[in-house]
Amino acid sequence: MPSRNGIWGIPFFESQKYLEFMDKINVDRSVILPLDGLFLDPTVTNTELHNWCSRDTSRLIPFFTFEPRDKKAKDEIRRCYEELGMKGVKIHTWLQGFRPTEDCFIPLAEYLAQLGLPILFHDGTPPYSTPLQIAELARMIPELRIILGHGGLYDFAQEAIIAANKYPNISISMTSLPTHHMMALIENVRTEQLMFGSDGGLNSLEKHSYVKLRWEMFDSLDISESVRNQILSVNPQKLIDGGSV
Amino acid sequence: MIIDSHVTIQSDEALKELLDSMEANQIDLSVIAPGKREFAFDNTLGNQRLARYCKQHQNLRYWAVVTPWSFQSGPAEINKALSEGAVGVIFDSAVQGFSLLDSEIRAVLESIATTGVPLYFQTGTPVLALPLQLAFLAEKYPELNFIMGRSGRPDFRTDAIPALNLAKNIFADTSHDYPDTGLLGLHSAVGSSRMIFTSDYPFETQKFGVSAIKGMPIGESGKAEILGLNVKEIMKVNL
Repeated sequence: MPSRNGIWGIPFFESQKYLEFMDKINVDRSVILPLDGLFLDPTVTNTELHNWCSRDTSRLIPFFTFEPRDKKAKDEIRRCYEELGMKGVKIHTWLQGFRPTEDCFIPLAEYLAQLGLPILFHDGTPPYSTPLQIAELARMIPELRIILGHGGLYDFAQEAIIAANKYPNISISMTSLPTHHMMALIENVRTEQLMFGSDGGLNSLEKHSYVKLRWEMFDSLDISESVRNQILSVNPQKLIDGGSV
Repeated sequence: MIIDSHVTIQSDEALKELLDSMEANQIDLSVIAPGKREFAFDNTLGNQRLARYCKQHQNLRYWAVVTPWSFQSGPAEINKALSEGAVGVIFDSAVQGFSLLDSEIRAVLESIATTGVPLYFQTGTPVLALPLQLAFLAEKYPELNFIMGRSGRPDFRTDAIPALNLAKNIFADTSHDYPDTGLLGLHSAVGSSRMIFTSDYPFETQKFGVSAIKGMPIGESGKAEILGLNVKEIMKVNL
């Protein structure tokens, strides 16, 4: 979701505009992740994100975040799940400043697993966001559904592949990756564990040509229609609707 | 004129694919770089292989590779490569195992300084290959031209502009970036005269690399500088 607070200089725009943009690039549904909530009071920003998506919840799928060191974090998870009907969690351990297996986070991750909510992690960035650090959490809580948001980015691709191969509760979203890297993931990871993301919303709508280009990059991959359908439709559908990965 | 200033060719088989890609994307010249093993271990084999490709194909030039730890043999290896058609020297400190701040590596750089050829340093990989470390190094050699490989992408791209501002002898590499976001930001900060087109092929396609530059909302003369004129001048290549 675009920032309401000018974070990173990103201007705010209404969700209707983003829905129109999705129409233009033929995207049916988008998982909407928090940005302001990574830095500011998540109890406020989660509600804002929920309201932003409420224009069309069949197409805008809200994920929330929380501050794991806050003693009321579990209450916030419960509120987002029960009252707001949010579908998953975004955690950016690098920006939010904790290890994926830090003591404060483990019981909250166990609670998310109990609720069946997936966690999408930013990954690919030391010191707190390497794929194998996140894989440790997957090992500790095998029923927790985890998505590596960037497949290790550029320097941790091998870690991401190893993590996904070792732990079936890990999926990878191919987001902000070069085509060569996306193909490496497709060739080395079970198709059922792969998704695609564009990182849309991180600039003004006038500058969303980068999102269009990322879709073109995905479209340029030499893959079968069934693999494409699995990555773009079947797997994210399972993620959103709570099925097993 | 389009010059792709950084592509990696790891094998004879990959060469044909590159040549086909260059033709499809109307790229006049590609500057090729060796594979990881040749960076880390067998510099001579890499230089000889790339020199052979360049002799076979007029539309290729190459980056010579040398490990800075080769105090004794490094300077001779560079001179030999430059005499056989290399147009610059390339480093990947994360693969070659040195920090851009290591004083020990300077012996090789001192010898390159006398040749005046440009240097390409891969950046973006912590702990050893960061834009601001490159700026520190470039400030020590103001007479040399440096290309900041990948411009710190992905996560150290935010340090690219500060590094470019610190050392005016650094050029930004355009790979993996987008016309009206990152590339336009670089352009606003340093202008087209300090940007150099690279695709980082095969890690990204030349098609997307070229289209990103052509899609920038800037004048045609600026695009021409980025796509080839800048690097033509610093590499002193005849086309």
